[in-house]
Amino acid sequence: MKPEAGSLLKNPAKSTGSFFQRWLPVIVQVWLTGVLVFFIAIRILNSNTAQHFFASPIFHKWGGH
Amino acid sequence: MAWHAVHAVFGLCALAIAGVGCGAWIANALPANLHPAERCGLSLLGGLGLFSLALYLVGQVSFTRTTIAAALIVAALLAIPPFWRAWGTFQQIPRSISRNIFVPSAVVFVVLSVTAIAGLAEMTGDWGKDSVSYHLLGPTVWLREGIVRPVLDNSTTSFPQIPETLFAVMLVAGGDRAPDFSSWLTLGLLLLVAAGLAMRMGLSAGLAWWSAAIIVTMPAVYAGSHACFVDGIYAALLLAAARVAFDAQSLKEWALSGIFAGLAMGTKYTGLLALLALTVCVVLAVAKRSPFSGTASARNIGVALGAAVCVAAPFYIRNWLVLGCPIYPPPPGYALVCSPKYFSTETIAQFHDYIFQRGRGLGRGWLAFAELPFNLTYHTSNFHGAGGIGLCPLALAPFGLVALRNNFFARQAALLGLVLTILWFVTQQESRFLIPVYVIAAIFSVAGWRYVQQRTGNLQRCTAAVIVGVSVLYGFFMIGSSQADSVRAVFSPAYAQTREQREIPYLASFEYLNAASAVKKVLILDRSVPPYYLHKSYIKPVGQWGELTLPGVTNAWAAVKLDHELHITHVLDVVSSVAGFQIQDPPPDLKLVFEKPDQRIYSVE
Repeated sequence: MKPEAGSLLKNPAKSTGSFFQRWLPVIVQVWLTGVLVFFIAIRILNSNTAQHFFASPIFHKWGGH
Repeated sequence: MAWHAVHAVFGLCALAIAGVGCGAWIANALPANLHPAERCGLSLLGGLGLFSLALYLVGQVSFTRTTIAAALIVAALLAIPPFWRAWGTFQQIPRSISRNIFVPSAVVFVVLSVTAIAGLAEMTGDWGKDSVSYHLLGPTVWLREGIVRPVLDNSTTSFPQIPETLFAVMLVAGGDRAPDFSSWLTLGLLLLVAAGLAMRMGLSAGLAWWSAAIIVTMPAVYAGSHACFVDGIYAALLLAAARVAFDAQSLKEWALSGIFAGLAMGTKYTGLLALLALTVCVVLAVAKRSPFSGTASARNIGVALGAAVCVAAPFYIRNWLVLGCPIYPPPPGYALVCSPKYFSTETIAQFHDYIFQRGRGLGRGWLAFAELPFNLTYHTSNFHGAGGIGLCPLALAPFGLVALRNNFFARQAALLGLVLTILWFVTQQESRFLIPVYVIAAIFSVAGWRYVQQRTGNLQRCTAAVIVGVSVLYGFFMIGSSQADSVRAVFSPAYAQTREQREIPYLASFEYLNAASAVKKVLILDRSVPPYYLHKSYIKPVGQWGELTLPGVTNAWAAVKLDHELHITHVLDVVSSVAGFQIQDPPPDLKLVFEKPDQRIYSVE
């Protein structure tokens, strides 16, 4: 049977790949980016500058606690 | 400073030669599939442990400088044949470093160099610093008394003493800077063991170097591996035991794995739980081996356990005989087994409460366990984590688990990591106690990094590389900021003096007591005063954790009345965070001879 244009069957390697393998690049990208962004965010929030800001009247004026 | 450095280098070299002498036989007993560098590292590690054990046993009778020097000479003579053989293979050592290991080896080199330099600074700190309160207190008192005995006023000096005995050797051979200076060697041995594990799990030499680089820049690993902390060498011994046990075939190899496990138990009490974890993993692995023989397997595991118990037993038996409990301070449930001396029931309960509170982490429920990878990465202070473990384990180790799912050795290592984590989670969640698991996680991270590189596109490869880079740089920053003070003190005598004034409590009193020839024996009234800085005999009636060191004396004031019976020449009284001056109205036989803010010294007339 001749595969249709654009079908997954056009690439046998792709067709035999598991769901995990096909989505691996997306999973890797989302996971790694999430870990990195969260790390940077936590480091910034825990920094002295941020802590001073959270304790400042400006932050409380904006409705922060 | 140059003299301190030369002296410390000499002391460490002497100890390393003794380690080679005592561990030469280990190289021949190891499984055949070890890399030559790994073989050398395990031989040295085991040799240091066995040298320490032998000296500890001798030290129960005599622990003088002469005894230690004699032991060093005997061990050095044993080192002549292995060095002679090694000379023949000297030409085979590669003279250049290949490009793919340049970056990770540079990372390792920089961190070990900083550790060595910072280790040359004088040890400072108050009673909250473990090295001052017990890791170095024990060895200094043993050398002064000429015998290895627990220091009664600090029960933690009765912990298993493989590293502390080595510290005593270095104090004799290399001066007071040598114990901390030696951290670079023990940390290096941990990295060597880790790299060996990585290669056994299928990683290339270059990736094994990356494993070492990621491990050495984990702030929690580093915190437990320098400044006379013993968690690093403990992890090295435990992982060496696992490395040998997972590949053991002959009875000799099984016995060797037991010896390493016994040395781990002789380094930290947590080694007892680790032996349990290791046994579980080995039993499961042996059951899967083909052909399976129940009798032979039971004999092999029995030999390993027997060797472990024989090596560790001296530390626990000594405690039982001297202190009334094999594990001291005793753990919960001790009353069923033993009756500890020098501790009241209330004080033991307070100690348990302190340990429970300190080690509670972020809870002990199922959800808290599931969140551990996240919390150990981001909420490091809840585990006294000194900055955590970097990003690699959380980001890349899951892919490493997928990549190595069919590797039997890797599955065993992962299982060991899981069982160790469960035991750690239900006992004391102190980050540095989990170093063996961090090492395993780092190896899986590198496997995961390779997996991502091989299976995904450029964007993912770049992101993974950024993760590793950020993690290593973060580790550099944390290590650099923690060691900057010590490095500065090494190069600036003026700053070193300022640092001593700032960080050594009651320095003026210690200087007076150490200098005055009339001072023979000092009575220290306050339990927070760190006697490590006192170079004379002393009595502390109430210890750091509430230990009662004199029969019938339940407080410091009662000891003052016994000053003549106890042959006390001077009394040190201070204002501290736990109490004010304890002598308000001095008795007639006490004469005030020294006074500074918050510190007074009386001589006994």
